[in-house]
Parts: sequence; structure tokens; C-alpha cells
Amino acid sequence: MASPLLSSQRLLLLITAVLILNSQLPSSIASLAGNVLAPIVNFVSLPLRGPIYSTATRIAEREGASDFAHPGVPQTEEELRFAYGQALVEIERLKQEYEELKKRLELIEGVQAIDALETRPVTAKVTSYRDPGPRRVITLNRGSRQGIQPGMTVVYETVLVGRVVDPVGPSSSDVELVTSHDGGLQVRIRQQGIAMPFDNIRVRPSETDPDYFVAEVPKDSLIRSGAVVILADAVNYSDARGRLLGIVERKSDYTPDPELLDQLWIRAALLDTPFRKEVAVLLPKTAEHAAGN
Amino acid sequence: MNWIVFSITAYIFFALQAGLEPLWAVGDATPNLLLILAVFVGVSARKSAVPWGMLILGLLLDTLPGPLVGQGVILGPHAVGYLVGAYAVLQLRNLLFRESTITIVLMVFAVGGFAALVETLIYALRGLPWLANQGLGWSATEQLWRRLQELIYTAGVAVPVGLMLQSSRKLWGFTGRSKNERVF
Repeated sequence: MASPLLSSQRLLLLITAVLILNSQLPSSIASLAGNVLAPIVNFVSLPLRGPIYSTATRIAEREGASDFAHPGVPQTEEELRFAYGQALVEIERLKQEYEELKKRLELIEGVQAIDALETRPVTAKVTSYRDPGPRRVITLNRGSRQGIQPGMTVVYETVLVGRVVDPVGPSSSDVELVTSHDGGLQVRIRQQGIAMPFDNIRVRPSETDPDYFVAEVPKDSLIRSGAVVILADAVNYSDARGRLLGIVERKSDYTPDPELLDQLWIRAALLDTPFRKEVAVLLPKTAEHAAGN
Repeated sequence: MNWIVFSITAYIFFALQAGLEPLWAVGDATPNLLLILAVFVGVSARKSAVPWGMLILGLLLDTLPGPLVGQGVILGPHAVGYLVGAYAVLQLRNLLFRESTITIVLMVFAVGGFAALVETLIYALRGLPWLANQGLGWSATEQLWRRLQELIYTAGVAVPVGLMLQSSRKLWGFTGRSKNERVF
């Protein structure tokens, strides 16, 4: 017959094994027990923890209000005037930035209204991000059960994120980011202040910086930094035409032919979105009907 | 060991640890009061009670916000780390004078070191593709460096807290060594 200590040791081993297993499961399952225990612990400890926390916060704020904690706080009238002047400049800069962003948004929305295809977005959470060599891949928590198939376009709001690739699992799928696209993409570039867009421009991922696309344009082109790059490819990502691909960040001489051509450096717009949290997969309307059946 | 005294002390230490964070955080580091309590229990309690006490303290720590932002509360990393720490303290405690505060300070480094290694390893394993495949977006080296800072801070705080705990030994009902425990 086992002694109580031995059975206690066995129980400990079992608990250890369960805890190790629990800590290696996906968070949706692993956090089940924790999400039950944590509120209980919080509730029980709150009568003591609450007053301690509020007292500690008050003391910390009082200490934080001293000159030592905030050496940048203006002390003299002259410093105060200088700070006020700086604040006015900052407000002016923010106003300009707001106007520019507003105009860009109007441009994008205008193009989308023309080109957007009939699709149904299915939101999906991003469960992982991998960067194996030149390919950047995210994994979604939606798969074939939700009607997702290889080749479908993935977006974050108006921004193109990438494309679903093989294999697609029942409840998970991999998405190759557009920055890893192998080959060129046809785009349309809209320059603020110019009514007609620049069509038939081909961009490709930069070989030196994976955050950028590059494109060559004639030396006399009016495209400048801040121009909006929108996908207009009929072969690749055909259902994502009108989606934002990037923003022209700078223009430099195209080294092989600096006399005739400039090179545009286009920062991928998806990098400025929280695409690693949640995205939307564009399902064709027909897929919706098929799933419904 | 008197489990009622343990529960009350654990409750107070947990409340203090979570409540005092805004006041005594230095950078990212805050002292770990529950680790000091775990070490005190580890060096003083009967062999059979040590793993259970440390498991409970580890589970309590797991309920506090960890490095997994947006992934919920995951039980395991601290609890398993403290169980490994319990094994370490049981191996080492016979070499040291148990009723000394210096022992508690030294054991904070030993137990905390083992617990930090295990905890970081468990979190790091979550990033492997054949396991949970949920990376944290941090490097294990940075996490270990942060935990080392916390250990140094905790060791500093362990001096007054250890003195206080040692002075309350009578309340704890520690009855010496277990029947089969080796002295040397």
C-alpha cells in the first residue's frame, strides 16, 4: 500500500505535468483555468489590495509631481513662453498632418468606389507571425470550415495584407504577406493635386529592404513622396483592385539609368496597420452562397 | 507548518505585491514578496509541505498580469518554476543555517534563479511551431535580464522582510525535519 507521502508526490507530479501541458496549449484553451481562478483571486484580495493600491498610487503621484520627477516642467515665465510657442508649432504641424491624411483617405475611398468587387469580409484573428527567410507568413484562426480557400485576398480595412496559401486547414490558414510577393504587381498611383492617376506602373518588392516596394518611373514624372499606391493588377490579387498597397516615401535616381529614370520607394501600407492582431479574408459572394448551402 | 498562518501571510503578501507596484517599481522591476515567502517556507517547513506551499504561491503569481499580453491568464509558468525551486531549496537547505536572514537572501537567488529559468523556458517554448506556436515578441535573453534585475531587487527587500518573517517563526509551527529527511 502506498504511503501518504508517496501519493502526495504522485499527485504533485500529475499536477506538474498538467501545468506544463496547460502552459503549452494555445491561449484560447490554456487560459480557461486561469480565467476562472484569476477573478476569484482578484475578488478575494481586493479588500486589502484596493486600499494599498490607491494609497500607493497617491504617494507615487505626489512624488511624481516634484521637480525631480519632471525636470522638463517650465519653472520661469520665459520657459513657459518658450513651451507655449513650441505647443503652437506642434498644433500647426498636427493640423497640416490631419489635412494631408484626410486628402489621402478621400483619394483611396474614391478609387475603391470605382474598383471594389463584390466580396464578403470574414474577420480572423492572427495566431502567429513567421518570418522564414524572404517569406513573411501569418496564421489565421479561420479555415476551410469558414469557406476560406487558397488564393483568397486578405485585407486590413482598406489595406491589402496578402493572400491565403496552401494548405488550408479546417480552422486555420496561412497568409503570405504581399511584401513577400514573388514578381511584379500592376498599380495605379494617385498624386495629391493631380486629377488623373498614373496608370500601368509596375512595382516589385525591394530586394534590399523587405518593407518597401520599388518602381521605376520617367525622370519627368510628377509623382512625389506622399502619393498613394493602389493595386490595379488584373492577374494577381484581382479581387483586391482598389486596395491600398503603399505610400511613396522617396524618390531616387535609378542606378542603371539615372539620366532617364527615377526609382520610387513605396513603403508597404500594411506595416502601419495592426495586421498582426486581426484581418479580414475576402470571400466572393458566390462562396457565401456555397457556404450557406 | 500552520497552514492558516501561511494562508494569511500569502494573502497579505499577494495584496502588497500587487498593490504596491506603482510605488516601488524601478523601471520594469518590482520586488517579488511571494518569492521571499516561498523561500522562507522552503527553508523552514517540513519536506512534504514545501512543494505544496510553493505550488500555491506559484499559482497565485500566475494570476497576476504576465508577459502574455492579450492571451489571457495562463496557469503554469510560475507554478512549475516554483516547484522546481522547491526541489532546489530542499536539496540546498541542509547546507545553510535555516534561521538566518542571510540564508533567505541567498536562497532568493537560488530559488528565484531556477524559477526564472523554468518560467522563461516555458514561455519561450510557446513560440515553437509544433507547440502552441504563439510567440511573445520578446527575446529570452531580455526576459532573463529583467528577471535578474527583479531578483537583485527582491534580494534587497528580502533583508527586512526576512527579518520580520524570522521573528514570527513561533506562529508558523515549524516542527523541524521530517522523519526521513537527511541532516547532511
